[in-house]
Amino acid sequence: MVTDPRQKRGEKSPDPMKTPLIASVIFHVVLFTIVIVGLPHWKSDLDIIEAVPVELVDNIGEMTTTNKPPVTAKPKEEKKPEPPKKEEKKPDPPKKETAKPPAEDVLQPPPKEEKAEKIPEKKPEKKPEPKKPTPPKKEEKKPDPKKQEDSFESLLKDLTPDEPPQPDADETAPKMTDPTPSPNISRFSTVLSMTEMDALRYQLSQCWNIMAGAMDSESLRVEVKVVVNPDRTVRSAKILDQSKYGNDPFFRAAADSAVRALNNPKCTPLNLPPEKYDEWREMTIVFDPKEMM
Amino acid sequence: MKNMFRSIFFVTLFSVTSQFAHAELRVDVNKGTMNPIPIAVTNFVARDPSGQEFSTSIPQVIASDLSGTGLFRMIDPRAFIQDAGSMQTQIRFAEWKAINAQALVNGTVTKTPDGRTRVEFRLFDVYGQQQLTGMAYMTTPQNWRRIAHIISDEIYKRLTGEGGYFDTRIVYIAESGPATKRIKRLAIMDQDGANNRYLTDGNNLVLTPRFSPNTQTITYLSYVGNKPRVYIYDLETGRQEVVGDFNGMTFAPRFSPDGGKVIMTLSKNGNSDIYTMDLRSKSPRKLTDSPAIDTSPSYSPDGGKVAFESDRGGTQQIYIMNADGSNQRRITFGDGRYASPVWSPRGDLIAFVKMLKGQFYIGVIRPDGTGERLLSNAFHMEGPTWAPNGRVISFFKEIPSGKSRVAKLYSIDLTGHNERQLKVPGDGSDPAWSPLNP
Repeated sequence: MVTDPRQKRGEKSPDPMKTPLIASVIFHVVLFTIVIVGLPHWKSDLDIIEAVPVELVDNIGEMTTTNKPPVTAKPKEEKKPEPPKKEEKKPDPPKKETAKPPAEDVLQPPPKEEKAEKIPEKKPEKKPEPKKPTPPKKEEKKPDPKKQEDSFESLLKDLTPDEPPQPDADETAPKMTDPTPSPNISRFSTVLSMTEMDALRYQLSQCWNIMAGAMDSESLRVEVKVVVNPDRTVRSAKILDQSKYGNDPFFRAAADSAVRALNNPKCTPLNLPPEKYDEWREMTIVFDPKEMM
Repeated sequence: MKNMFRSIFFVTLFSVTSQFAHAELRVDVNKGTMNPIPIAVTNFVARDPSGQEFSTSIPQVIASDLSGTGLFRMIDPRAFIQDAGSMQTQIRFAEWKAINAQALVNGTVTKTPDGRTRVEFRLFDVYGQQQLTGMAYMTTPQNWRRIAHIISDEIYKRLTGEGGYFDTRIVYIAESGPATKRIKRLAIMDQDGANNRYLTDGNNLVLTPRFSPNTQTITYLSYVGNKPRVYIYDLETGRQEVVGDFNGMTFAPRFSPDGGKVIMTLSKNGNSDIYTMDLRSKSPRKLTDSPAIDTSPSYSPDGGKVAFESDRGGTQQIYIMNADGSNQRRITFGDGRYASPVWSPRGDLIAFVKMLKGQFYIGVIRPDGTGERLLSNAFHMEGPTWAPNGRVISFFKEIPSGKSRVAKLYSIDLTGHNERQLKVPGDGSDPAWSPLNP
C-alpha cells in the first residue's frame, strides 16, 4: 500500500538517509563557523541591553562601525590581523555590572584616527643602539640565596630579619635590566649571533612592564607571534593562546603588556641586524616572568 | 596506488612545514621592568552645564585612585596635545603616543531627563590604538564619587587582570584627645578618606572593627560598662547588639565568609579559646581547647580553614586548623613572635604582624608556611587588613610624637614597594577594609 503521496504522484521516494545527512551537514557547518569565528556577541549584547538606555549606545555603536578600519601609525597593514584580540576584549566580565547600582554598558570604541601620523617617526632616533648592552643600573637588592629558591618572589620587597631594614628603599622601580644571557637561548640562535640575540632581549626587557604582585604571576608566560617589517618595526603581534586570552583576565593583562612592549617606541625599531631580515621577519617572542627578578 | 600518492603527499607536506617551523626564530624574554604604566586621564566632556563640575572632579578622583596604587603614573594634563572635546569624534593616538601615554581614559557626563547623571568612560590602549573597555553608569548626582571609584576599578581590572578595590570603604577606630584620656570612636570612610563619619560617640572604648561580607554590618569589640564584649553594628539602622551572652570576655571578632557566623576569642578563667557563634541560631561552638592563649582567628575565603595565633608552643605563633577545629598545626617557625593572622581574600597568603628585636613588621606567608616576606616595619604597627583584591594591605602605625604617639593608617601593596599613608581626618587605628560595595 502506498502511503507516501509523492509516490502516488509518481515521484521518487526520498533516500531515507538524506534528511539526517542534511541535518548533519548543517549542524557541522554551524559548529565549524562557531569554532572558527567564535561565539557571537549575544551574551555581552544582552548585558548591554539589560543595563543601559538603548538609544545612546546605539548611536555610539553606529559611529564606530562607520569608522571601523583601524589605521596604524605605521604604514603597514598587518595590524589588522589583530581583530581576534579586539573581539576578545569586548566581553567585559559582566560581574560588576549586575552588582553596581548604576546602569552601565559596554561602549563601542569611537572612530579611530584616519590618517597615518608622522609623529612616531621621531621616536627611533631617541633610542641609542645598545649593541652591547650595558646595564644602566644594578639592582639594589643583594642576591639572597634564600630568595633564589623562589625566583618570582625576588621582585618583591622583603625586609627579612637578616637583611638590614631598608628605610629608604627605592620606591620607584627595581629595574630588572641585567642583560645576562638567558640559558634558554633557542637552538636557532645560530641564526642570530649571541650578541644580536642579547641586544634584542635587552631592548625588549626595557619595554616590558611586569605587574608584580598578581596571583600566580610566574605562570603568566605569554607567547607572541611577531611579524616584522624590513625596517624592523613590528607589523603584527598576535597572542598565540587566544582562548586563554579570552578567558583569563590575568593572562589577558599580561598578554597586553607583552604586546605593549613590542609597540613601545623605545622598542621601535627592534634591535635586529637588517641584513638578516629573512631570519627574523617572523618570530615567536616568549615573555616569561618566571626566571626574572 | 591512490593511497600511496596520498601518503607521499602528506609526508612531503609534513616535512616542508616542519622545516618552516624549525626555521622560525624564537626569543625568550625573561626580564622586564616594574615601572608604573603611564596613563592619561582627560577631563570628561560635559554634555550640558549641569555636568560641568563632574567633568573635572570625576577624572581627578580616578587619577588619584590609580596613581595611589603605584602601578600607574598619571601624565600631567598640561602635556596633553589633543583636547577632550575633539576626542569625542576621533582619538589622535599619535599625539598620545608622542607624550608617552600607554593608556588613555576619556568620558562624558550627561544629565538625563529624570534628573540623574549618566557618566560614560572609555579606556584605550594607545600603542594598540584600540578601545580596551567602555562603560556607562547612571546615578544621582550626589553619587558621583562612587561612579569615579567604579570607573577606577574597571580600569584597574582591565589593565592588571585583578579586581579593583576603589569602590570600597574602610571602617576604623578614630582616635582623638590626650594620651591619658584617649577617645576612640568607630568611624567609616571611603577608601580614599572621603565621606568620613563617626558611628559611635566615644563614650565606650571600641576596638577591632571588622566588616561582614555584605558590607552592611560591622562586628567589633566594645567596653560597655567596662566589660569587653563583641558587638554587631548595623550600618543601615545604626542598631548595635551584643554577640552572645558569655560568662567572660569576648574579643577579636571576625565574620565567616558567608556572614552567617562570627568567630572570636572567649576568655574565661584566665584561658582564651576560639569560638564561633551562629548568628541565626545563636549557638556557640568551641573550636580550640588548649591551656594556652588562642586568639585572632581568621577564616580562609572558602570558609574551610581558620588561621589563628597561639602561644601553646611557648611563643606567639600562627596556626591553622580546619573550620571545625580539627587538624591544628603551626605554620610559622621563624625568629620572633607572630600575631594577628588575616587570610587574604584570594586565599593565597596570610598577612600577619611580627615582633622581632624590638621592631614590628607587617608580613605575608603562604598558608603552608612557606614564602614568608616582611613588607614594612616600624616602631609599632598592627592590624593588617586586606583590600578585597588581595593585593593591598592596610594597617596602622604608631609614631612617637613628643611624649605620646599618634596612630596613622597606611596601605602597602604586595610588592612592598608602594607604601602610603591613608587620608584620615585625624588619627586612626585598627582599619578594616570592606569588600567591594554591592
